[in-house]
Amino acid sequence: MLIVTESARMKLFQRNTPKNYKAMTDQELVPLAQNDQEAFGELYERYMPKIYSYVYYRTGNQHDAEDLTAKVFQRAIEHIRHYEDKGVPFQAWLYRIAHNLVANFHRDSGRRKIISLDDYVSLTLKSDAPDRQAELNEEKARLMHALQRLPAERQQLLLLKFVEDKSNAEIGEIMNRTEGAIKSLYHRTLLALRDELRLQNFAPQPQPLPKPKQKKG
Amino acid sequence: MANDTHTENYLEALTAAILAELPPEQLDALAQEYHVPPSEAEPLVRLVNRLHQTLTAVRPSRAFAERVKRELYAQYDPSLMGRLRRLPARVQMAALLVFLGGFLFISRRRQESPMKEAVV
Repeated sequence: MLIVTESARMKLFQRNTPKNYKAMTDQELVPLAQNDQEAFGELYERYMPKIYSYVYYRTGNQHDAEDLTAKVFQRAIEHIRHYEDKGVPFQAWLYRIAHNLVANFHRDSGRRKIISLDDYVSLTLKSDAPDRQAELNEEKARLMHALQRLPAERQQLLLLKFVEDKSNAEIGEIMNRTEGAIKSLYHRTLLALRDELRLQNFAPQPQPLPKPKQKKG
Repeated sequence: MANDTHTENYLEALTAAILAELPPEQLDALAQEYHVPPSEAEPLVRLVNRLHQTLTAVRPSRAFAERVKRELYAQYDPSLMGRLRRLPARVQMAALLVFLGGFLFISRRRQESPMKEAVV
């Protein structure tokens, strides 16, 4: 006679029930992702575009951004078995991997973070008139050059705040700092950026507030 | 401005307002609330606005996203069959055709060689 314990029956039931990965939290997905590719796939879908965006701004071109983004997830998959949520959420862990890889990239290649102006043409608002568009492109390019001259951690802070819309608490988790320290760093960063732009004799022209963004899917 | 903490609080409130795309009147009201003179507030408002407009999310291409996903999935099944399964359908089809072609080629050669020996 076959004796099936309650726990074995539950395990069998769980194995045969299709999992709704999309409804799961990161904390639920991470342990599954150690052996389950679909669980890792869901984490990848959630965070790959964000990591790509972050890396793109730190490297300044699509090719390096793709290369480093792939490496971030390769490293994540290699180390996910050792990941433990010790107060560092999964996404903060991913951003730390990305930050370290970008730092290695700049150190190994020995180059400054040069961003092609052409890359920023694509970011122009299509609704603007050509003259205004050219002017905006130039302003954006100057702003990007000023950004590149900031220390890496200040660039990271601005990208997380403006590109990813992260709160100070989330940024603190990623950068391993307190919320208050992030607030203070943001203040210093903006003043440094303002001074850098003044040095470039660049004063952004007054303009109407932007139209609602369509940037995030 | 009065002190660093005061400025920090103003910048936080200002950034949140610009990210939420509040109208300019509310940005002016914020400066008044934090007692920031317009000559100091204006450049900061312009700078934060410019950052908001410039630093927009960039999307990777779909082809890249899918290629990396396939490569990652292959790591869960390192066997040859596992890796083959992760290849795109057209590559699998091409591999199958090459395999069948090779098989047919070898079997034909084997059929022909005893006949040649018989002729000799």
